[in-house]
Amino acid sequence: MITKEIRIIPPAEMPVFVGALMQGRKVLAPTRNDDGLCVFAWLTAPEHADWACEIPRVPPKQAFLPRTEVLFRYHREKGKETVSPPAPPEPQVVLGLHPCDVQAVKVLDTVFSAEPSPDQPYLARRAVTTLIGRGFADDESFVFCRELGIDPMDNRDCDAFLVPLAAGRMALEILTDKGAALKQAYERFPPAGAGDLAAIAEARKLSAARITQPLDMAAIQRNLETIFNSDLWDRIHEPCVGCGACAFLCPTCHCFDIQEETRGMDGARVRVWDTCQFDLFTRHASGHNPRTSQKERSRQRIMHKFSYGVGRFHIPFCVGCGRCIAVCPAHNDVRQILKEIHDLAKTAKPQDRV
Amino acid sequence: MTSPRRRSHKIEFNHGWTPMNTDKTTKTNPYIPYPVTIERVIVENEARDIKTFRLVFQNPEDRKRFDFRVGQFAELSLLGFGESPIGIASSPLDRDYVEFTVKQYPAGVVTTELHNAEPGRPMGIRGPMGNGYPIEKMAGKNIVIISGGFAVTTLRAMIRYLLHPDIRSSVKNITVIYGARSPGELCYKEEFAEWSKRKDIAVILTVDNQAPEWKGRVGFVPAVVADVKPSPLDAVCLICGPPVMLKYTIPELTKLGFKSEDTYLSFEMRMKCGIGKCGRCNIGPKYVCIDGPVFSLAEVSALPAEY
Repeated sequence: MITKEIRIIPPAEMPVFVGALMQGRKVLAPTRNDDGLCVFAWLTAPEHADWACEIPRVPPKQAFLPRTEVLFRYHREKGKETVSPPAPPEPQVVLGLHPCDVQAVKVLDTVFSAEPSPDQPYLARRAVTTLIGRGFADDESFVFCRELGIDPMDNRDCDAFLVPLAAGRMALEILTDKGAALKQAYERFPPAGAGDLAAIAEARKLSAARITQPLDMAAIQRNLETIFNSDLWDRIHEPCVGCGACAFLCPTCHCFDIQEETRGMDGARVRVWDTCQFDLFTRHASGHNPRTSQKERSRQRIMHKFSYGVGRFHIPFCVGCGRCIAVCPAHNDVRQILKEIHDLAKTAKPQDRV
Repeated sequence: MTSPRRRSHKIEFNHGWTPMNTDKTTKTNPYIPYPVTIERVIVENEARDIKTFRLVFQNPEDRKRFDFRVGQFAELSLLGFGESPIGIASSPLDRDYVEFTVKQYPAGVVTTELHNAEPGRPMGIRGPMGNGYPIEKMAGKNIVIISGGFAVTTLRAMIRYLLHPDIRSSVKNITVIYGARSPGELCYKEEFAEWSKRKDIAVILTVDNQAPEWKGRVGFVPAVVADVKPSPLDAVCLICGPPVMLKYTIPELTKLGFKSEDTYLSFEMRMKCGIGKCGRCNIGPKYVCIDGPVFSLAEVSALPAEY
């Protein structure tokens, strides 16, 4: 990626930078909620952005796929109905994304821009969004994006990118025209000097060297095609309580429900987050359900992420952020499941196939 | 399932990288339905839980945009109640309206409200959705249509389409086997009675149990198929019915020599978006909403039995 320019922001000036971003834009950034938990949330004050957060538990997908999104509003009268689309989205910045979360946005972009019907509400939000990623030198224990080949210092697919330097200073790399459009917010900061450039290059070199042997995602996809009926699925769902936290907090999970919110003769058709982990997700009005138990639903989650998604879009629906590992009340660990899938193929029997 | 070309594709994040295209936008919001009005409601069965709704577009040009193939479906949209994906029961050549035959389920909010609706009620439809039946492959072939219960809806659309004077000569013999639990549960009774009199289509109706006024065949669809023995020669077979009918009819068709590539089924699934985004209607890697609802038996046998 060609870097247009690099500015250096001292730690005390970060709120100034964030405050400038907030001029005329909504800013989604890592922040602490009332319980002290680190989450991505819309900032109400620049100093709320929390630079100690690494992988905020609530992912940034809400910037493009809000938890509750009005698809259109309507008014009904006897014999007449009128429908009004929502107002176009306002410009927004998603600030401080871990590079694995950036790749998760790429997964969402791939799904929602796909033919035959590109998703207009998603794309409209995406088009007015500027992505500012952030590099990380260290990983929280559950992060395994390096194993998927994602480098936590990689600035690809970002409009701008923050590289942490010594003493809390941040280097802001401007990478795209959208990034350059933030000029008002960053032009007050000094350009990077030769020492800074060397430090950035060194950080990148160190980070890249830590990606030694990524998981072979193509092999995992091939393996999954051979073990649909394996007894693996009888085991891995057993501790699962079906809470759906893994899916709701996954930065790539995007399955949704469409619901009515009606009061009297006025209402809205809304899109809300949903998950394949719930029984109701696939239950027909007749009562028939193709995924009757948690076994089928756990299998669907793994298959969708590592097989179906890859087959259709050539991109895994997992970026190794590890949120599902961190939050699972039953301590299910997707790394362990992936390892089993990797090993199982060697012993898979013909009857394990579809 | 996956083509060899796809197989060899590198699927690691850092290889074969292409930058994101974030400038792609579209003006069409696929979630906003076309406004339509219910013109006619026809009660199809004695139990009165299956009705056909004839819908006309409030903006006639929308009917042209709603350019569908036989076997496609649409989301019927009732503001304040929700949406339900239903196969299109009329022919694309019925140019003034579209029809949907809907069974009401006690748990079905939309189907229940729809069944309470009267002519003149405004509503919406989104679509058309899905792939439809393989019309191109059917050209010049003998057509065998097998159905049971109210699953006949899109096959009724197919019969109407094939019998259209402009279309009839494009296929050879048409054989239809259609069964229901009792005579009162057969849908589209008047149409089937008319088609039974025609020379250019063979219609075999059957009911599960003998009924006083019934003069047709008695027996389950699989047994009738075995008895009628439709020829698999140069034939395409379309089959749609309840799971138990499919389970026992498909072996009969195989016995008769129908090839799995020439036998087509249509699936139902719980759906929300209908456009391949909301993630709930997949059977293995295939989305019923955009890859289906029509699959050949050959395709189905490569899928997990999760339906």
